[in-house]
Amino acid sequence: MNAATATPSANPSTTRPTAPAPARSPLRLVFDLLASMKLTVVLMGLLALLTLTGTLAQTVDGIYYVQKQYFESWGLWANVSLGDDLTVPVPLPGAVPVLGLLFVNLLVGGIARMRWRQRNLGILTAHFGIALLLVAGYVKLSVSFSGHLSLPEGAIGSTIRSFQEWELALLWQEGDQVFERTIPGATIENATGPSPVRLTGEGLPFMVDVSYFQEHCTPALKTAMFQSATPVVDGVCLVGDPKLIGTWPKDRDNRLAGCYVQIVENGARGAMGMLWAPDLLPTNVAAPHRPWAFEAGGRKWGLELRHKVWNLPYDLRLDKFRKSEHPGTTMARDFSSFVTVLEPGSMPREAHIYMNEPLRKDGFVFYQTSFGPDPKRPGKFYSTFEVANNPSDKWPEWSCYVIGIGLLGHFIWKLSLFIAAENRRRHEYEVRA
Amino acid sequence: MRLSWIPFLLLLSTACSRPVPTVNADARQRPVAWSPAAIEAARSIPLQHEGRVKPFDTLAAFTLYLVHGRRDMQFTFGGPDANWDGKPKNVLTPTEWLLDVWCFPEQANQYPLFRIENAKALDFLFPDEAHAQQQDFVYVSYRKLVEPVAPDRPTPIARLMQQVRELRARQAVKDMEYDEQALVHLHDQFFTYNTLVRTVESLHMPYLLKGDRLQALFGGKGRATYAEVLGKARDVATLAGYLRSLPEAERGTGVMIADELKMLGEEEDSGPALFVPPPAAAPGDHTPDHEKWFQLGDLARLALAGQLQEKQQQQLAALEEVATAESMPARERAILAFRELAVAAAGQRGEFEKVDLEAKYYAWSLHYHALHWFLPGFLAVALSWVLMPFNRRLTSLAGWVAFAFTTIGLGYLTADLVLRCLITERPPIKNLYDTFLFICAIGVAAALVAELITRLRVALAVAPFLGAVLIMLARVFEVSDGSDTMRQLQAVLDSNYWLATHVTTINMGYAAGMLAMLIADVWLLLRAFRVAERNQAFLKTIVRMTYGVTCFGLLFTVVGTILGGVWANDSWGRFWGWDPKENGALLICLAQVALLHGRLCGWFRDFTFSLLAGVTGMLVAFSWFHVNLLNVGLHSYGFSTGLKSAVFTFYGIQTLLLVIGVLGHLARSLSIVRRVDNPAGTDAGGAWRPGAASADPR
Repeated sequence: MNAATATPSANPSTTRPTAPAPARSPLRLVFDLLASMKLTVVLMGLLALLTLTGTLAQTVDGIYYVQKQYFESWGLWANVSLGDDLTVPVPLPGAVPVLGLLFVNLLVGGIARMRWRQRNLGILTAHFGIALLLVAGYVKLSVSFSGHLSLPEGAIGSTIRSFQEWELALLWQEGDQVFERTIPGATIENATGPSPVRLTGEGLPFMVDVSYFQEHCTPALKTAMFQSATPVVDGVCLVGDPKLIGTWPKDRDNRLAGCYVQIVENGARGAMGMLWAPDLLPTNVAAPHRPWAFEAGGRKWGLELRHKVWNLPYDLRLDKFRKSEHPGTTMARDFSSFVTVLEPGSMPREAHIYMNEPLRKDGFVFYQTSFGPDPKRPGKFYSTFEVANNPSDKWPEWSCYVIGIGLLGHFIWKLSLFIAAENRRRHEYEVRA
Repeated sequence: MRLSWIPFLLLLSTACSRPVPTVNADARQRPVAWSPAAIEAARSIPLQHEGRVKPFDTLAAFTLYLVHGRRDMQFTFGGPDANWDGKPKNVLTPTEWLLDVWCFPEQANQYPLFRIENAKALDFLFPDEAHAQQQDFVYVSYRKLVEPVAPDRPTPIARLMQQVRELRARQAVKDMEYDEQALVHLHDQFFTYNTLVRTVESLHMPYLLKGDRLQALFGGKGRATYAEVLGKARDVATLAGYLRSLPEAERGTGVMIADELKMLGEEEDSGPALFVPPPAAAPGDHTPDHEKWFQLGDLARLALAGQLQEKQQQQLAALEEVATAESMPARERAILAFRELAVAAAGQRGEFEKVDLEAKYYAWSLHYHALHWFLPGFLAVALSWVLMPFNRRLTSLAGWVAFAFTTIGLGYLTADLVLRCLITERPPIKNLYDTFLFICAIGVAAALVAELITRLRVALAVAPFLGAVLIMLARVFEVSDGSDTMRQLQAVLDSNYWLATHVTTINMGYAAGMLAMLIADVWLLLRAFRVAERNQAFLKTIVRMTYGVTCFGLLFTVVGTILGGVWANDSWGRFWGWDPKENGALLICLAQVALLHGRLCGWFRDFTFSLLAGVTGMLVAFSWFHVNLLNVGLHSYGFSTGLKSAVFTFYGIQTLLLVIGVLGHLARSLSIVRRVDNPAGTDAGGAWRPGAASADPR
């Protein structure tokens, strides 16, 4: 009997005794559990709880941190507010295990175990679409990366900078060329106090101690007005205390990290240096590169804390930026960039990037994100493109079509059954009447 | 020198203690009411405001919403020369009010205009007045804000400006305390009105002509109107060049007038533009020079450059007559003349057709008519339920009447939506306000279809109820938001393709979620109060209806949500960003998928299924409105503070209904236990006959 039409028995005494079910193997039990529709319901409930608490947490912590904590993690302690001053930590699984289990549940129960009959065709199609969507999400999470490319009009560039991730770069020059080695920001982000994280590299005649890492700070002249919690270098220190520099920006995009470095050569510690990363924010295209320079092993080196960078395999030139406003207002109606792709060995290719119309080129997608006045040339603009490399870029769109077709077919079929049943019932009533 | 040029700024200074100077003292008070013909003509005068060409009445109505909290202006005028039309209480339509503001500013500035609800804001503005006994809100006139409360003390508005400047320097408005936000809101309301007042202020202030040469230019007159001065602007500028070489005492007012015209021409003003530029040289020319209509200051710039065209001069002369004529008949004739000129000029640019349609749209007020049909429709279906045990024929008749009324209401609502699409040349949903009307139409239509299939009069009861509630909420939102509901779109939203696909489908999903919630609520209440307890088939069909509507909703929420991600991928470079608006849509999908799977696997029987369908309705409200209150994420164009209390009221009512359902279920479970002890039962005389309800032919 279909569960949807089953009615519970009101009288337990009329229930027929059932034969004991045959014992199932542990493997079979696991398979049944993974294929269970009840597991689907539980996972949906957990994901809904996670989404709801994560959404409300964004008002306090901003989107980036909540995304990391709730939706890209294996588990977390969610602070559930029970009043103005009362929050209770509640353990929750992160979205990674929940979505992973959901994917397995979908494959085993929703596709493999489902009867491949005509009446299930719509649901099977929809399940395939959802599986494709989940795979697209996984590919995006594990393979893709994104950043921004900010260009003043007339400028050429190929360096993408991450919005949120930092890295520590060691620079040196050989001839006319500048070489660099980088270390992910995650390696040094825990060195928030005086105890340093020591960095070494093959072939390097020195080590680097990183300490006092601060996710958001600003350099300030040390005065008698405040007590510095960080070392003072040449009268300047990095201040991250919100009481002194104001509340930190909620979004990590707008935070400026800083740290202290010390070179250790032959067991001796050198002078202390201070690194700060106000580097090319989208709104700060004219910021100069100022690595902290030092000498070791008879050569000059530089250290730079910056947003993580990637290089495109070709150059992009911003030929012109155009914006228009609704008449008599300052409200943007449209802003767009005319660019040229400059690829070695190919003819220059002109393209027009504007809102809702990105440029797709060799796996990279360029979106019109922002713009502003060029600080060096009055009357000119700079344009910022978000650049993403995502192999699953188009998969969600395909999955949408697949799911839509599947659900539409299934529900039309169900609706026709429902209408037929209602007509039958009404007809029977009229005959009786 | 102008006799009185914008003394407002002086009033704002703390040192200032002068009242607002009198303007055009001969015509300060309107002697009689505006004639219906003048009002009708003025309603559809085209003007450009906030980036689009709209009717005079639309500007007036939404300004009133914003600053006054109502669409009309009601007041009892005091003083010796009050009650010019002999009525103790005056009610002005938006058009009449704006005509007063532009033609009789002295009078309009005394209207009880600014609605102040916050007691602390009131105490801040008028610390010496006792406000302890105040009601929910107080209306304060413009004049009361700009006049000093005592000699040598700053005006209330000067103190408010100072306070708001400090508050804004300290933090963003969304992070402020409630009372501080109220001050900022009042400050913004004041400047909205002030901008409107200033639109034609120059017309009320004739120029004082001093100096022989200057007077000779104007035929020996001692004063000249704005239109007259613009007519000779280049001569005045040339004369000013010569006068500058003379000692200051011999210059007269020529230099000052020339300087003021130049300054007016350079001013950027966000107020409405009333003067139509000539048609674009080339069709489809969207350069700002051709799109932007002219304000009085622009005319000064054009006049100084010798580019003021005859049609614009004629418009200016007509408007000056509207604002300053001695008699009401003369003013009203000037209104007709000004409208004729504006309509002809706008028509040449192809910009009047939609204005006329918009004026008619607001006059017809179709969705308000729909409300008038939904309410009796609901009463009729309620009557059919009451009559059911007594008279089958009357029951059937009342049911058909309810169906007819609701269908007519839906027709009005559909016509309303179609008109909005025609006026804006956009799909039905452009902003939050549109979602009310669209969700209302889809919800009512789906309920009527469900009724045609099931014939239970349950969906028929829900349809007009849903329609009436959503239309009333739309009205409340329109007033509380106070912004043009056909306003221009942000650049990111400027895509008819995505508005027609993603936005439409996701809102169809919202409509289905709301409808399923209401049907589930009916089931819970019927069960809780033991109505139709003996008719399980009837109750089963209601649950099946909830199931069917949830299926309908799932299709649209899933497709709508994914389409939203695809749009986000094309605009922002990522398919999914766990943004609150995205999460809200995902929550509905998850809840609906859980509902259907729980039902299929036998976990969710009728009670649990209905209960969770009710919870899903609350998630729809969360996604539809609550996430806009959070002020987080990339969907900033949808942020809103309107209807905050309505959202929480809805949560409260829905929770109450669910609690009643749970209590009813618990009580029923206990009674089943008792009935097992006494299987014969004693309640066989229920209102419903077993097996009959689902096939009730009405």
